[in-house]
Order: sequence, then C-alpha cells, then structure tokens
Amino acid sequence: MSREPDELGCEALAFFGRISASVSHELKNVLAVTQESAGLLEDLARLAEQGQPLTPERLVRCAVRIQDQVKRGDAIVRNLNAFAHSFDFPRKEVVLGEVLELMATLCVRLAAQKNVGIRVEAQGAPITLTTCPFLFENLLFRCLEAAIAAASSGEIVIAAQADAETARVTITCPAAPAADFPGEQARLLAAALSAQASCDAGGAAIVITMPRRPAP
Amino acid sequence: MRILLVDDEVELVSALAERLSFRGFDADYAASAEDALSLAEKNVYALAVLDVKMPRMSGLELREKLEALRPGMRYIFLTGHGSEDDFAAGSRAAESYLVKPVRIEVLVAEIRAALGMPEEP
Repeated sequence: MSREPDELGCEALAFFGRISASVSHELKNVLAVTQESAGLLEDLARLAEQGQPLTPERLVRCAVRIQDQVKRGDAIVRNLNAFAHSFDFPRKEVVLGEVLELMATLCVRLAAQKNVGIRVEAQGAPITLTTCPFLFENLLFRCLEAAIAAASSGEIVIAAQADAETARVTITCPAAPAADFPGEQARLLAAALSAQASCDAGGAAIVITMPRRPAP
Repeated sequence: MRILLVDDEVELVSALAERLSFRGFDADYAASAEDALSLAEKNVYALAVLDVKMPRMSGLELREKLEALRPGMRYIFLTGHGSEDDFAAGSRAAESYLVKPVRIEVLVAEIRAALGMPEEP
C-alpha cells in the first residue's frame, strides 16, 4: 500500500532544511574567521622569529577577534538549539515575543542578502499562547520569507498584540508581498494551526491571527 | 601580481589579505561587491577571490560585472555553502571553488595555479 506524501510533513522538513543550511553557512564563516585569525597569529610569530618587530597590540587584536567569533558561534548554536527543541512537544505554551525574536534572528542572514533589516518591537506584558511551536515558527518563516522576497531594502518590523482569546502578529513590510501571498505553504500551515495569514488592505503588512488556546 | 579579495566578513578578508601579503602577493580586499567594483575601476587585478553569498550582489553576479570591467581576470570562489547546485554553478564560472574554512596553503596553491605560476617548492 503506498502512502501519499504528507504535505505538511514535507513543508516542515523543507523549513528545517532551510534553517539548518543558513545556520551552517553562518558557522562556516565563524570557523573561517577563527582560522584566519589563528593563522595570522602563527604568521606573525614566525615573522618575529625572523626578526620582524611584533607589537603586543597586534597579538591582542587577533586574540580578541578569535574570542569575538567564539561568542558569535555560541550565540548561533544557542539559537539553533532553541529551534531544534521547538518540536519537543507537539503542543506547548510559548511566550510569543520569544518565538518572534528567535525567528527574526534565524532570518537575519536571509534578510541581509536583500539589504533588509528585521526588528521585533518591544512588547508590554509577555503574551503567551498554546500552539505547536514548530509549525508556528514555520508559518512565521514563510511570512518573513514573503516579506523579504518583496523587499529590496528597508526594515521589516514584527509586532505582537493579543486579547483574551486571540493573538495577532503584524509583520510590517518595506514593500507589498507578492499578489499570491499567503501561498500554498503558508495556507497549509495556517490551517494546521487554526490561524489566518493574510496581507492587510494596503499590502503594507502581513497579519497572522490565531487562537491563544486550541479548541478542545 | 595584484589580487582582489571580496567577502562581506571583513575580519576574514582583511586577515586573509594580510596573510597573502606575507606570502608575496599584493592583495587588496573589499567587504562588499560595490566596493570591489570601485577598486577594480581604479586598479588592474590578475585574479579575484570572491565569496559566493554576499548581501545585495552574489559573487557570481560580481564576477560577471568584473569580467565586463576587466576581461581576462581569473576567479576563485570561496564559500560556506556546499550545495551541489552552488558547486556546479561556481565551478563553471571560476578556476576554483573552495569551501570555507580553507587552509592558506590550499588557497595559495589554487591562486598560483590559476595565475600559471609554478608550484611552490
């Protein structure tokens, strides 16, 4: 008996692949800078052996560069770890602002390719909701991807609001997303989350609304 | 021979330029495609080492513009990406396609080979 491919599962895997590829690329850069900085220290030491003057400041600069890359790599891995743990539980109470920050951070490099910044607006009191964290992050990613694809510069601003029943995420875009937004993947994900993702009337923002608690 | 290094990771490309200068190359660097084109307008480079993925303009696009500006330059792509499509595209467009982090000895050997210089003893 053959099974049809699970569309949602394929989409989730594609999302995981995109994030993993982006993170691995960033880590490669961290390793490359670390390697070159360490190599430069080695070169300077060898030149000093041959009688070339060597100032402590140069050594300190190289050492600081290496330490900065370690901090950078640590932050990247922490974010990857947080992302990887998103699927520990199929349903969980999450703090909305933390999820938005995580996705904004994971999409920074993608946005930078288009010369676009991403910023999460500070909230008042934390907003919680109970959802499938991984699918929610997947939906956010598809929406951010659409906002980035439409832009050629500027800043994407993500803001969250909520009332007792509903959470609302507004992604303000430098340019209106493509006419076919939300697209198949985002519709699939929104349906799985009992959410809605759409552009506002002017096309200047993508809005996601979803229940704060799943239906019993 | 004068070579140009281009990567948006400025700490990487500046360290690389310095290390290559210790090894006898006259190396300039740029942290963006736009800066690279400005340098190429003013100077003649025999070879460029380009990062593939950069903001606003990819290394492949930059290569096309540099080739139009300075025909005959040689190219080496340096990237953190390892996908097969990237490798195929990069290999077609350049003398070499190297994945970061790359050992300086390997890069020097590729540069010397691309420029037709004899191997180091």
